[in-house]
Amino acid sequence: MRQLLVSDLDAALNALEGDRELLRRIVDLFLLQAPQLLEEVRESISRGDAPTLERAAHKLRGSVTNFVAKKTYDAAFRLESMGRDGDLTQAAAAQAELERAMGELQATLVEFSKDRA
Amino acid sequence: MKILIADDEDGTRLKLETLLAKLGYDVLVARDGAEAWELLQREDAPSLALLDWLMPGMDGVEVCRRVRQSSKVPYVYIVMLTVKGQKQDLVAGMEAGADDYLSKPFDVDELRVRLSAGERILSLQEDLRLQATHDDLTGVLNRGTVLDILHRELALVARKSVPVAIILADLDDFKQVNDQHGHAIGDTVLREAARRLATPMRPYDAIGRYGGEEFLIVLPGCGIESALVVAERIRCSVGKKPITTSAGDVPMTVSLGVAAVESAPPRGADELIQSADDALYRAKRGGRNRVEQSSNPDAPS
Ligand SMILES: [Mg+2]
Repeated sequence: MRQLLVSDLDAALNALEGDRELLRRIVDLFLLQAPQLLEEVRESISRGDAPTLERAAHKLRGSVTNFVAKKTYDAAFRLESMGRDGDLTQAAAAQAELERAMGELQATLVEFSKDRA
Repeated sequence: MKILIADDEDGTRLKLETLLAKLGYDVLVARDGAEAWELLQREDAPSLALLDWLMPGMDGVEVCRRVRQSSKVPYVYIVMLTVKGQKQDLVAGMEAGADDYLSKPFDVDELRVRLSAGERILSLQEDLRLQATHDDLTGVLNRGTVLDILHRELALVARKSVPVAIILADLDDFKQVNDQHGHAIGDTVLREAARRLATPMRPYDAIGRYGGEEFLIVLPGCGIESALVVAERIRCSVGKKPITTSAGDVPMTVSLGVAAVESAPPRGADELIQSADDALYRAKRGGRNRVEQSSNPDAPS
């Protein structure tokens, strides 16, 4: 159950009509870009730049919809809303949550990517 | 069928591109709104578009608004892609003229169902468009549409100094067919005559039903000399053999009046049609089944 909060890859696979190869390509693309996506979130928070945070968090949230990754999605959504409201006072805690969730998600996806069964 | 996808996320683009290609679509890809807008303005633009709502630069809503403002023909069916939790944005998207929306994450079944709904709407739109621009009985353009085309071509004469010619073609003694055989046979004859009238025409020529048994033909880029050649071909095409109907063979011929505008300042549409009509009158008086030209191609006769 806990694992499903990180990423429900079976659901992700079903959404692609079971196309494992396609999911793998989307995963690999995401793993390649994840550091950059996360970096944009970090930077905008450290600069106190709310509009950029909204955009960066939104993009990250959109990217992880493909993996049904609830924790990452929720954390990104919180940051996106803060960015939209222009209130970053709680951003540090939300960012820590996002970093944790992203760490778990990336680990899960790396496993999936390696598993060339 | 062609479809455009526009999304700034590489993963979503890859997903859509692959799934849509599997569903048999011809996929065009844009990475942002500006690219999408550029592709949608092309002559052979797709009539289905999946636009991500949030993209850097021009967003999906703005692309949608521009497409609607351009009142593009044929219609573009637009589905906005959103991430859940964008309710207000959704309203904005629909108000900008989107036809539907799809929330990420979506699965392939959702995609398939939404797009087939879109295709259904597009084919209804196309039927309506054909009904609005074509004559029910003969299938050629209706009067309003062929006149629109003539006005457009006359504007080009002024701008680019390309000539344009028109032919007014009137079936000879058509009333006798109706009187002798009834309207059903008259309709058959009209339909076949319209088909024969159109046969010698080039793809970019236009023919419309101007009145009961009268047709207006617009020949872009044609001066009086080449228009006379076309008119003669049309005359032969209609009269070469009788029209076969359930009441037996019905002989049919056509009289044609030709007029052209070769240089600026152009005559107006009414004036041009009047001189073609004068020529048509002379063709009728001269014994029918013949071509006459406007007495002075570039001045009112
Ligand atoms: Mg986006």
